Amino acid sequence: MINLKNRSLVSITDYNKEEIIRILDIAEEFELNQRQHILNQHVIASLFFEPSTRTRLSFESAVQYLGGSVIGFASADTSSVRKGESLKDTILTVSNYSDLIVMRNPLDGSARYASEVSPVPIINAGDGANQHPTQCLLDLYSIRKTQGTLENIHIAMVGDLKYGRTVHSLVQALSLFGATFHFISPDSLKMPSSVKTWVKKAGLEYHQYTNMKDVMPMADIFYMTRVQGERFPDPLEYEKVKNLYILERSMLKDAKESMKVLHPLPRVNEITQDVDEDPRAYYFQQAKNGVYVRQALLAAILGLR
Amino acid sequence: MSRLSRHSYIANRNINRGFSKTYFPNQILFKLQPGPKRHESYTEEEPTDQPLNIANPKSMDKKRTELKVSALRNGTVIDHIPADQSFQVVKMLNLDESSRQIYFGTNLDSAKYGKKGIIKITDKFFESEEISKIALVAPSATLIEIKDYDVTSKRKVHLPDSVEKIVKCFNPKCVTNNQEIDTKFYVTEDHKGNMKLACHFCEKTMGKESIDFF
Ligand SMILES: [Zn+2]
Repeated sequence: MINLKNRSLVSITDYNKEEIIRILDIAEEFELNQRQHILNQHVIASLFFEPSTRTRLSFESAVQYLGGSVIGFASADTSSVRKGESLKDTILTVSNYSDLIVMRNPLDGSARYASEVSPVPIINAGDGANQHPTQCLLDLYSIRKTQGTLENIHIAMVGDLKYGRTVHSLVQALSLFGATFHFISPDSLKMPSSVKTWVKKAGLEYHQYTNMKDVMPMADIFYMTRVQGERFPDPLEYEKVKNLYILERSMLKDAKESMKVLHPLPRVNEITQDVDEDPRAYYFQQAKNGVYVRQALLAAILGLR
Repeated sequence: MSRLSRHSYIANRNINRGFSKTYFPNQILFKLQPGPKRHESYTEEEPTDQPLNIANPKSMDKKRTELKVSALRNGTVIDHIPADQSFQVVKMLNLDESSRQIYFGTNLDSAKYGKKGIIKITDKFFESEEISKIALVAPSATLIEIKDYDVTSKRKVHLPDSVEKIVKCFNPKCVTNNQEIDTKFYVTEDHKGNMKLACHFCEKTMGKESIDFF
């Protein structure tokens, strides 16, 4: 029995495989029929303690497509937080005015804490460097939609695998579905051993590479992330490797027709503009899928699906 | 030299200097408080270990008697502390600020552990929260409780499943370091079997070397 009603979503591991599939199924329904005014009696609080325009707009549009109202703030500068109010007090106050709280906060673990003090459910829209589960769900939705399944896909993850929380969550989630992982990164930004342990514990395979070429023909998904210069202790090393992790259209000649290129956005230069013209570029559609997934979460957690 | 006078000799040296150390080769042995009035001993149950107390006169060879300190009438002995964690245990239990009579030894030879530390605290019996603390830095430690010179209980400390309120999160960006929130950690192991604490909130994992107590 799957029951997501009134349950906060803090980390992707809060959901089991069936619960993830349930959210993706509901999201599919909203993709087919996006404007359903099922939240017209509801108020959703959108508390962004740090700015993240992209994520905030995606959530707020999800609420509005469902006919709900949004209250909240877009940065801590304009809120009582600036006057020194504790997170607990802010959450308890706002829960008086809303049915569900979407929260983005720069502190690691703030979402778990908020979910434990709040009388209304919390959806984590990013807690510092820790978790961003709605990003993970929209990645999964995009993979399932383009590949027809989440089972046993070959996924290449490229770039900063050490600090990229989106790739860590995606590995955890895909481990439930039996993927094969291809990790492509400079030596200094390799996937952490804790994440590789997850893969091993799930009885799955991973392979590590320092360039994209060998993986191109076998991958179903290329998941690109940004390699930031400031992550390198030695600027010279960054200069040496930075071009190895830029995807250009010419590199796609060996790729499968069905392969898709994903990116959590914003991109800087790790995917060249000419890739946008290739049918395998999927990152803008991926961002759009985020709205359907967030609609699905709102509906499921408020007990309307 | 009789057993008792040997005790007194060590005790006197320490009393004169308050917090002084008595050095033996590679070993540190000192008393944190003036000595007790009576000097009695219990027998350590693992004769292979180098004892701090010997009740049995048969084992009174010279080398061993050097290490003797006064026995407890009532209190707790923490034995088998890894030598490199001995001072950490003292600090963690705030024994350096305690007004109780405390005996402390480290870098003592141990057949089982190589080098070990041992701490004796008079009139002190530990609560389970304190035992959890000991287990975190010295999982091999043994806790021996003594009442009226008799060993009333002897047990290994063991790691709890979770640790609440006593350890700080090592992640400066963790919500527990920025708001008034009690910490909570799950005790786990990495793939090499090393003890790790996973923060309930920020989900970061820290090893023994990062543990910092409130
Ligand atoms: Zn933490």
